Amino acid sequence: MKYLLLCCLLFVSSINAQTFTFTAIPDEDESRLRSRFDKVALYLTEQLGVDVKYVPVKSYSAAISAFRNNQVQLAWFGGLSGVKARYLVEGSRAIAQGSEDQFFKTYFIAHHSTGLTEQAQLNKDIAKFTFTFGSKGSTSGRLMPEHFIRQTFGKSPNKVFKRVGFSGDHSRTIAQVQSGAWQIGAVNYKVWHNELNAGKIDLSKIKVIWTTPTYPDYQWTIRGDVDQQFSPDFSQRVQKALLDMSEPSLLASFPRQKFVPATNDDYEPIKVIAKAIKLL
Amino acid sequence: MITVDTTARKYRLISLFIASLGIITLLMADIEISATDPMDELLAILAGFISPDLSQIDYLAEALLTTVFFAVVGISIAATLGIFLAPLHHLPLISHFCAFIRSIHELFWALIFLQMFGLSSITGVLAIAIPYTGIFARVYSDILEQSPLDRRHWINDTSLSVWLYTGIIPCWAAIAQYTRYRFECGLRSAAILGFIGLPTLGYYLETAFSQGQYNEAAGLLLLFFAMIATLKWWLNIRLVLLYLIAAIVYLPWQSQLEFKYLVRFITQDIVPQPLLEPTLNLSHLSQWFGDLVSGQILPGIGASLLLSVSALLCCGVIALLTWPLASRAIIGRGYILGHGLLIVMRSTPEIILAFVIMLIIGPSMLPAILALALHNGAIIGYLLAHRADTVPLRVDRPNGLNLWAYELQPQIYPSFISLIFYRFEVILRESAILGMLGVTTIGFYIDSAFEALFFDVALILILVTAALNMLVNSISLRLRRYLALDRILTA
Repeated sequence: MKYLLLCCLLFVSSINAQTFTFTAIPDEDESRLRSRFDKVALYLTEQLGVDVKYVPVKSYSAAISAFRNNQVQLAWFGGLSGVKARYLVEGSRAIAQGSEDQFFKTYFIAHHSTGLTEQAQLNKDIAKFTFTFGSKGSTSGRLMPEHFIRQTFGKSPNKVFKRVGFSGDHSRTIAQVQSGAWQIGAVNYKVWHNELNAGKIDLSKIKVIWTTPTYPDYQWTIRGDVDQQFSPDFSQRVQKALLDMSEPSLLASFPRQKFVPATNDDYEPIKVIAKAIKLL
Repeated sequence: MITVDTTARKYRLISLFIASLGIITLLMADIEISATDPMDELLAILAGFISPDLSQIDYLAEALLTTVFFAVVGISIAATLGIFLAPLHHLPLISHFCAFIRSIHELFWALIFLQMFGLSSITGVLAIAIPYTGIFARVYSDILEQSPLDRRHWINDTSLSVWLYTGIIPCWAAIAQYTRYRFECGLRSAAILGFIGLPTLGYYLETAFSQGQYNEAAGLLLLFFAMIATLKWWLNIRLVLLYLIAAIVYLPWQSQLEFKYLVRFITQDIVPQPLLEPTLNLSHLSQWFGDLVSGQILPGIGASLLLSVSALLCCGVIALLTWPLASRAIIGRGYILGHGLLIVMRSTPEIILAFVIMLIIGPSMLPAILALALHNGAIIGYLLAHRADTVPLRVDRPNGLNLWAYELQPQIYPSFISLIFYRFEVILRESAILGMLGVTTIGFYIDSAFEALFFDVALILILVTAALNMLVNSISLRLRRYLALDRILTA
């Protein structure tokens, strides 16, 4: 009888101990990701009154899969990965974005040996050189630069450039263009400024030659079924907790100044472009 | 002129064949060298190795244990299954099945299981156990065929005791030695699984490397080299049992995914999308498939073959140049240094080798060719050195260069050719994961498909790679028969 009771207790406690999990695409500074985001988890635990855990992932697609398979209920996605995740999970919603994400942009950067200078339009001379994107699933490192290249040249990047590669992420794009391995690259503007401030960029070797028009990027996306899983107004409370986040050390993990409300419709332009390039 | 059909003539022919094929593909491949200025980055990497640092890595002990445990459990399962499959390996069905499972790279197995079980230990262990089962079954059967006892007595008798006493026990030493060597490969595989998110050493290595934190990257790499170099002191059959128990207790085994997602993966995600449309539209289906063949499969196969054949030639050259450095008979005590060099070359993941080479000579197929060649050349070099040091030598043998040129090199040349054939399979499989350099091997398209969550496309491309590998395997089998290489122990 005692054991039965114990079993019941364990069973009940395992139900109550339902954990709310979230992830973030590995896009900004990847080192010590776990210790940084564990702090965000702690903040959300306090705000929401449920146990919140952060799950690290290694790629954009892993973040989407985890969200789709309900391993995480909340995710900090890029523009493209968010559109993709919401396309795969019915009822999921974008609830918040960084204030910077309303007007995100990509820098085209070039090695000094190309002789290219900064211009207001995308210089057609870039076609003579080798070019690298960042990660295949990135919005600022792949989708949008590819979109603007197609717009300017009327054909796909591998027909425009001498050679096209995928460096894997933004930091590597900068390192490889700086070393001259690739002559031109497309990079997330926030990562560029971070690395510039960290002294990792030598402006005599590498510079920005074009800034793309702005587009919507990163956002928090939540699954539609959390209100049933946790409590009726759970997604609203999550949204409020995110918008209320003001502690600079927490916001530095993203890094954003603050979060503002977002909706699925904000990302319609990204969806249209992703469909056109057959990434959706 | 009289031609005498000697064994040596066959080896000359086959060497000439591999060399000319390699040169032709090197000429066809895109191997442009572009001027870069990599000094800053190379100095940063060097500085990293001068002051390696592991203090900044969270969860290092966990990563180390997970790496070892994935390898121990995966290899133990594979070796056990391999032993039982080996006596059946002469059946075409079994040998094709084994060729199929080992022709898919462990990273791709892991990407598939990731969709079914999430980042669970099941994913890591299966991704190692499955391809290695195919490898063990084949090599154990090769070893058993060379049993000192006449094979004909037991080949048709499938009883357990016959199998045990005429097969396993007389060959135990060779089996144990091969399994130990494969355990090292298993450790490497386990580490690399971190690249796609499993919590092994590769997880942190990839992060550190891509973020340019070379102190941490160097620390992790050195730690990994040390693990491999000290393997013989911490790996023996009794300890393996202990590790197995520890692994079963320590690793989290439950699948992280609900069963319904596994069902969805099998019944929807991997089914070609046009087949899932409410009404079957044949023209749509054939267009979908045609686009796949012309846009990805054919160019992918072309690039993969070009890359692998040119890498094979370079790999052979590197192996022939490096094995004497690690041979005690030739170099004497200095062989330890040669061993160290080969450990560094073979234990550094190819992706990292390729990345560093690309910084120096710019992007093209060449960094990928060299990375594959260095890695696999070092493995063959190590195995050849091992073999050379077991060749019985006469008391009045020559020394140094003469010993190398007239005694050992000719004696181990058959092993070399045999290893080259086997390694071609491996190189082809590994060429798939170097797609990130913008080298559009079939693996580049597989990676793109997984990244875009087009699992149906990924599966078809994986099956195509498997078919290609099996084709190459059967060609190499024929060539090996022609050379009567089957009688030479393969490794």
